[in-house]
Amino acid sequence: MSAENQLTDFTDRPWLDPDARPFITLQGISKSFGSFKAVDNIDLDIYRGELFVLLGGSGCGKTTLLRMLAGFETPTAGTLSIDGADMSSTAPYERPVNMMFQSYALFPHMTVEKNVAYGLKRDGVKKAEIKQRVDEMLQMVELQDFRKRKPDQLSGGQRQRVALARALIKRPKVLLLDEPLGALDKRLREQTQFELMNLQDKLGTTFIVVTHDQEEAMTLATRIAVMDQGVFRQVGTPAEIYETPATRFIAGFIGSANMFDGSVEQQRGNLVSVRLNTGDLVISVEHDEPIANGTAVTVAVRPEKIRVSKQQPEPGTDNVMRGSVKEMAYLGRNSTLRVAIEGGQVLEVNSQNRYRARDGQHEFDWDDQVTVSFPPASAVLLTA
Amino acid sequence: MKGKRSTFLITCLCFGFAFLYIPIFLLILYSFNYSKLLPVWGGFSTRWYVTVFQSEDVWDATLLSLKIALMNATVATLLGTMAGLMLVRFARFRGKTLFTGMISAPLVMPEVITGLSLLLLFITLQQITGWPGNRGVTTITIAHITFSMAYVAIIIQSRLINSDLSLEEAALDLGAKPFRVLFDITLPLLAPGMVAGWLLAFTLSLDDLVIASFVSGPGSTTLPMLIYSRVRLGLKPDINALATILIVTVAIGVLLAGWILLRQHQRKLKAEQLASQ
Ligand SMILES: Nc1ncnc2c1ncn2[C@@H]1O[C@H](COP(=O)(O)OP(=O)(O)O)[C@@H](O)[C@H]1O
Ligand SMILES: [Mg+2]
Repeated sequence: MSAENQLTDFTDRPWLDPDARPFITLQGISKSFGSFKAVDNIDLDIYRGELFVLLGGSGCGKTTLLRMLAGFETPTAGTLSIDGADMSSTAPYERPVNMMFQSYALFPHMTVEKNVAYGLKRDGVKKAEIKQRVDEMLQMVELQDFRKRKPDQLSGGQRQRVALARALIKRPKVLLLDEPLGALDKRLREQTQFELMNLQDKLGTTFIVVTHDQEEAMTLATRIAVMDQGVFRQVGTPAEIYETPATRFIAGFIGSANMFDGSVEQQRGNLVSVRLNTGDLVISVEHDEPIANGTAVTVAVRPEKIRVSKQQPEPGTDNVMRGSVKEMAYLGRNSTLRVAIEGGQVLEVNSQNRYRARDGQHEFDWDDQVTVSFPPASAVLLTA
Repeated sequence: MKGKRSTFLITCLCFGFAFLYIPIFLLILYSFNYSKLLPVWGGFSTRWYVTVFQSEDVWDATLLSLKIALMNATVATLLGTMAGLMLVRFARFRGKTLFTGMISAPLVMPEVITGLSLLLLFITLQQITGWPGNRGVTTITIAHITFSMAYVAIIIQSRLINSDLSLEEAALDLGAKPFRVLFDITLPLLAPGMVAGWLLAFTLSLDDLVIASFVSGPGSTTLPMLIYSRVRLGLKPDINALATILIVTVAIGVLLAGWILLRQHQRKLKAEQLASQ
């Protein structure tokens, strides 16, 4: 690989470049409300132009972290800098950051136009320029025809776009979005996800998005931070988090995963044999780091990475288990099966529906005897 | 069983309304009575209205009451709004809880006590500083402001507590300094509360008798004081006429407020309809 090639590689993934200067840096950021720690000692680097997603369940401290970036909450400990400037004593109205609120927080007594123009007016921009920029912005979010309406005369999707336009018009260095699509219905949400990505791509603004929806996070993010009880459990690209989850928690939180508990029997090269706690089964998993025999581990396998078949697998196939179909959900493109294997564990398996099901006859049915298998490379060994 | 109960309830309702409205109806009826003797119907006449309009005392008292009520409502709204803002929006200060509790004290304090203590205050002040020279409009207005301000502060407080803090944060986020946010966002959104507070302060002042009696001096008789002193000398029909004028004025005010609220509500419904299209 040439040096030039590596450079182009890094433009899309600056977090891998050891020489890249982070745009936003959090060091040891904590926030306590009384004795309750909402955000607990977080370190984070975000790079220019990223679409960074904070993902976590309700109450895990996402909004609190975002509010510290916007300047509405003062961290109990730690430092925070944006574009090289320390933000500790900078008021919200002086930060190069704008926020789109979860409730949109549109000013109810102002028209769409006035709402969008507000930030520029406060900055003392000239009237002619304000008009031109508001026009442009309304054009971009396709609200030209609604400029004279008040927020309560708009639908949910339109309100969301006004909030976005209002937060973007000052061309902030960073845009913070708190559950930007949370109030929209499913169809509109999916459509808006792509609009949001296109917009971010076009403007090149750094976006930090908060969401509790893992699919949304996977769709939008350049990188995701999975948050739980005030701390980051894992930070990485959507693929990293999905394919190589760091802990059982992550594996279970993002998508679904079958988990086998067991202990290491031996390691040969990058292949580890794990004896399961239930049943008389040994499965082999790829794992690069050395691991001591006898270590208690969990093997996680995604449902779509398990092969299910009514035929006997060819000899030499790895990780073969026999079982019977306990439940089946037909989803059109594929089916989700629950297969009970020897030892009693029930696995979730995805099967592509490659043949047309006719007369209610599916490839698999309740109580079918099947074999399931997965190659060692498809499983992940987890120690935490 | 069910039928019986509803008859009972309807009877109760009728009695309730009768107690409320028959006295008022009688008052209006007797204001048009020609006879000078109250219980005797002497035929329809508007002569008592003429008497009222020709009475200089009544004019003086009405103007005085209106003057006090206007000044009181305006100053009380300003001070009460500031107090409400201070108690809800601004950073914690020592004794904030105490102040929050104390602001509602004038609401439960017996008027006699309020009146008496204010009188004592004015007398003491006069002895020390020589002001206020004599009691009258100024002292009554000050006394009214002290208690109506508390009502306004409580209205403002409750509106602020229920209002969405993120609106003000959004303005801060867009580059408005806190003082600017107050004028651009907080106060416009508080306007309905301030109008309500102003109206409440106005009516509270207009019908206060007890406190005004304590702190007024010679030559400053408010309308309630005038009515009360006249009635003590015996019921006279011209007072009925005056009271009827008051009732009609208040009724017009209430209907107007109701109409404004209804129109606002209709406009909101229309807006929602527009939004759902
Ligand atoms: N101003 C506050 N005072 C006390 N507790 C708070 C405050 N703000 C947030 N919290 C608490 O901090 C936790 C995290 O809140 P938040 O950041 O809003 O969660 P999320 O946005 O992830 O749902 C919650 O348990 C919440 O109750
Ligand atoms: Mg939140």
